[in-house]
Amino acid sequence: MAESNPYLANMPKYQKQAEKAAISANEPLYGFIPRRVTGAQARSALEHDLNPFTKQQHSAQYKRILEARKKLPVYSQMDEFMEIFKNNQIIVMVGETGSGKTTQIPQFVAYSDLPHTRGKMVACTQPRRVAAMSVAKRVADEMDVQLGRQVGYSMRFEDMTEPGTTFLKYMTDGMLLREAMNDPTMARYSTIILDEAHERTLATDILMGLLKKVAKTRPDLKIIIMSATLDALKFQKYFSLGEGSAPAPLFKVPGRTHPVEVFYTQEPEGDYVEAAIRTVLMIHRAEGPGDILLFLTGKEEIEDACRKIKLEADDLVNQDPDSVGPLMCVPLYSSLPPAQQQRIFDQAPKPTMPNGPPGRKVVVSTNIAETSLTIDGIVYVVDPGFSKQKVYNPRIRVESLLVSPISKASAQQRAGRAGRTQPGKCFRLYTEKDFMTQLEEQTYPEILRCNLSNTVLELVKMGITDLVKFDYVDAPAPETLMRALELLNYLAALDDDGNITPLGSRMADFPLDPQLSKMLIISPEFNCSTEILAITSMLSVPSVWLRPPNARNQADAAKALFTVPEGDHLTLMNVFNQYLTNKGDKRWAYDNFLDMRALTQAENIQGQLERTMQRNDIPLLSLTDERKLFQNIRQVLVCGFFMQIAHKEGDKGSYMTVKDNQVVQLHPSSGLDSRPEWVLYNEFVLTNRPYISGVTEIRPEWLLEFASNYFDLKAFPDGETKRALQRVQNRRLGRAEDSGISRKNKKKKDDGERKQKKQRTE
Amino acid sequence: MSDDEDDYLSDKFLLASAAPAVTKTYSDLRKDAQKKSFLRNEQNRQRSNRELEQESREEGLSKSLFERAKEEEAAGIQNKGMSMLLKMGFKPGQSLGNLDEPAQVQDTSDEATPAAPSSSKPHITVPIAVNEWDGRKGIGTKKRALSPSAAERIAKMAKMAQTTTDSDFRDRARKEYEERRAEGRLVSAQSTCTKLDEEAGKQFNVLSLNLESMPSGLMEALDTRTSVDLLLPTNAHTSIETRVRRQMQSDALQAQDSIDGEDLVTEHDEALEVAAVQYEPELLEEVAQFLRLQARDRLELVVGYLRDRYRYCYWCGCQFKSDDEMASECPGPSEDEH
Repeated sequence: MAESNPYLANMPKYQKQAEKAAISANEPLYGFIPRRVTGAQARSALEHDLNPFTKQQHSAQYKRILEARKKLPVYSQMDEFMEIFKNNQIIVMVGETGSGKTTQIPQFVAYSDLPHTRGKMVACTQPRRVAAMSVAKRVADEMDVQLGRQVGYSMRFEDMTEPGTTFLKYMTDGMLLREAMNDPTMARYSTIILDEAHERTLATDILMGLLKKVAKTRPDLKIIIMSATLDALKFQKYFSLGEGSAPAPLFKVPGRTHPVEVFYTQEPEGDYVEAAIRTVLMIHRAEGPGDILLFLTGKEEIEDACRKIKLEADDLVNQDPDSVGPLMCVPLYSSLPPAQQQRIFDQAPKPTMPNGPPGRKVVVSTNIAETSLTIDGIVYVVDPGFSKQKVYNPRIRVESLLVSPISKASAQQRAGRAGRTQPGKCFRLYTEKDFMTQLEEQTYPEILRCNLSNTVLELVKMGITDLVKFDYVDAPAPETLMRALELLNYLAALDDDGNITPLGSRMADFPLDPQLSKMLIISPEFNCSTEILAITSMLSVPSVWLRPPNARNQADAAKALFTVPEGDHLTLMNVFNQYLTNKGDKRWAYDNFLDMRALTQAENIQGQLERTMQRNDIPLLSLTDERKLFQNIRQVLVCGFFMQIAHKEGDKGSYMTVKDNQVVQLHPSSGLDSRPEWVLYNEFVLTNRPYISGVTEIRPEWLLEFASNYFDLKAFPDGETKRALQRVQNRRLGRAEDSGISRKNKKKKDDGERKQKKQRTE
Repeated sequence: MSDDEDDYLSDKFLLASAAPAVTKTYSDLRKDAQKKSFLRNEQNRQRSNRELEQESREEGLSKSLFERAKEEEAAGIQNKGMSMLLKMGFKPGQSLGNLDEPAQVQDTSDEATPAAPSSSKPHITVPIAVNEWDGRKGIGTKKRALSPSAAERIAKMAKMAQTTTDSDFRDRARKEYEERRAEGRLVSAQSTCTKLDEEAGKQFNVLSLNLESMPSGLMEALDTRTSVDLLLPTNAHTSIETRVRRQMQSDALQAQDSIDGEDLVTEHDEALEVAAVQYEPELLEEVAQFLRLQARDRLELVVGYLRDRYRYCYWCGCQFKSDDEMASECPGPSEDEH
């Protein structure tokens, strides 16, 4: 700047330099040109006494953390990164776990991009809420700023940013997608970083499609895709812009991992749980010190295995205390309360006697320990090769949650967990040949495995109506899109040509499934929007019911006290209302076997949704007459969930889903024990059996009245359901005629009376 | 209905007179009775909820929504989702996504197993299959779940069985008469089938099975099939601790103590395994479904198979040289057309 000032042109050079030094003493970013910053410049700013963003003195903690940061593999490649960032619009970056990419790269970008000078922001997306939150906290510490000011995070139902101040924003990928709905060019961002892209969540996949499109119209927008090694080439190819152009450039950072030796079994295993237990005990007896990580599929299996391992290990110790040390077995799955999840970080037990064999910790986990959680000290991994996978099937509209073989990529990821702190070993409970031939290369990306109705509405709202030709990284099954369009059309969110309706536009404003947002919007017509809001909030959080193994009966008894016989939705509402009235009582949730976390979360969501309702002029109404109120609530449920109805058929008390004719059972968790003829369900899941859960009794008349399009009997498949509906229809018409006649008669009578009166008066 | 004379000329009549009158021993008779009652039980058994769930699922999963939409359209019902999708420029059979990119080779023959997504493979055209893993078996112990074609065949048979129960109220006498007639024809159709299969080098065909001449072991395998499902899970659970312990002991190379009652369990397990090993569960399921059908339905399946596979029309009684010839000379696939 000094050079460009003509009045200073004649100033002697030494004087100029002195002035420059004086300015840069107060201005760490002096002379930085956005996006042309070099590594050396950035380092000088990092070493500066003043924080460039707050202009405060750097704290002692900052300097301590900075020293630690310098040891990260990615830090030594800062120059290279600054160069590639300067020269390219889109970069694919590969960094193994432990490279520090998630915390460092966004900071490098901030120093080069200098978004705060132009009122822009840098966004870094994460697939998981917890990660977005904890990384933002860490980075705020590293940059010596307060979390929620210059560095913040944002996710559904939680915003920790300060508009105008925040320039580095960690957010869930779903949140960025929702923002794009109202800001399709993502104008507020100068750089967008998609982290953990190899996890291929639905939102990250859609964002890649959107960003590829936006990049062509916004050459000033920089995009960085961060991933594990395996998918890099695929992303590079996908992001090659223009005709026949080269794939996007790759920036690679080595990880900080140790080699892992992989062992296979000689023969396939007859029972993988049994084999896993055996292997864990074998390791405990024969291998050197180091903790074990065993991957199993679900809660029951894990608890069961933990018990057995403990029993057997105690046996071993008793038999041979001189060579076998104590063993601690810790379960880990997502529904475990956080306090118990923390146990995985406990130290392995101490030897039982001085100089005795060392103790060992075994963590038995679902695949959450595969990516989302890192446990230090793991040296041995036991991998039976299975996980529970959620797969949506559009043909019968079921969400299946079944045990299935993992992919090769997943198996590699699991093995890698053994090499975090020292060279490790991975025991695969299948043969090498089966690894090569039976396992898929990659886990199916979420977009191929899930229901798309929500995403389709968001995309259409953004103005992307060409969903058939949209440039997906991996395109979903056409039938899945067909189901989404069908649902949105019947909910009147899309018209017959696939364009968004005013109602659909309002629905998209809610971060909810379309059935739920539809319910919220129409609920004032039934004078029960307060109650529907409570139900919706409760349906947006994990289950509130606790059922500890040692107190199942008490838990069930406590639940029975909340149960409303007409349906689970009303029961949820009841719980929520009682939670609000008992909020002063700290023990209330505990005494009633309810999950306090989930309830607090539901309350938070209720507040957020209430604000969205206010913005959309949706009043909160309620009724005092409880019978009428409950009936209206169930009618509103029908208006949202009329495509999720089951009819009782046969004499065994099973239900059949309407139109898809699937024989299903009420989920054991349902409080509906009267087995009514018609029910509405929140979910249809296939676990060990096909279950419908979140069930409420409804009247068939409501189906014909509030969802006449879907229940058009002229266009209804033949069967018992249709016959039952036909009977209802006939009865309705009959009654309508009856009442019509009686009204007419009454009118005649009235007329007659009036005539008489008239005559009399005359 | 055709005249009564038919009955005297029927294969059943002829075969019965031609067969040498062999006096059956009591044990033969008992076996026959057992077989007959097995068949009756299979046909009349109130199907359990679990089976109903499975059948409805298999049927639902085997039919694509486009097929369903097409059928509905034939019945004059317009499918909303389908028409919206078509308006967006979708062509049935294609995948979604940007199709201009290279390496978009569509392989429809392999459509039931969607290709694993990777940079070189095209987008999927059918949803990812819903496969149930068999208990706690390790990877490599069994084939992948029911092949889609077998699932389809089984679902079709299940549907046939369903329709007969639905129409129970219809004229019972006529049905029984037709049933008897079909049984006679089934025998000759199946013998033709066996002959043609042998010529084609096919050893085993579910369609040529009947209870009078079941291959050895199949009957037993079928029996265990029904019990295996019920037996195994509990078995596996109760003995897992003891089995682990035993494995541990053998791993430790200690002298094996006598383990009371254990050997009995394993022997039983092994017997079951031997029976089950010969016939894959998939095949057994198909056999059971087939035998559960009415004779008329079985006949229909056999006749259809002969026609599709060997260009042999059962009603004309001859094999055609080409599809064209069959189309021109044979009046049609059903008896009424002849």
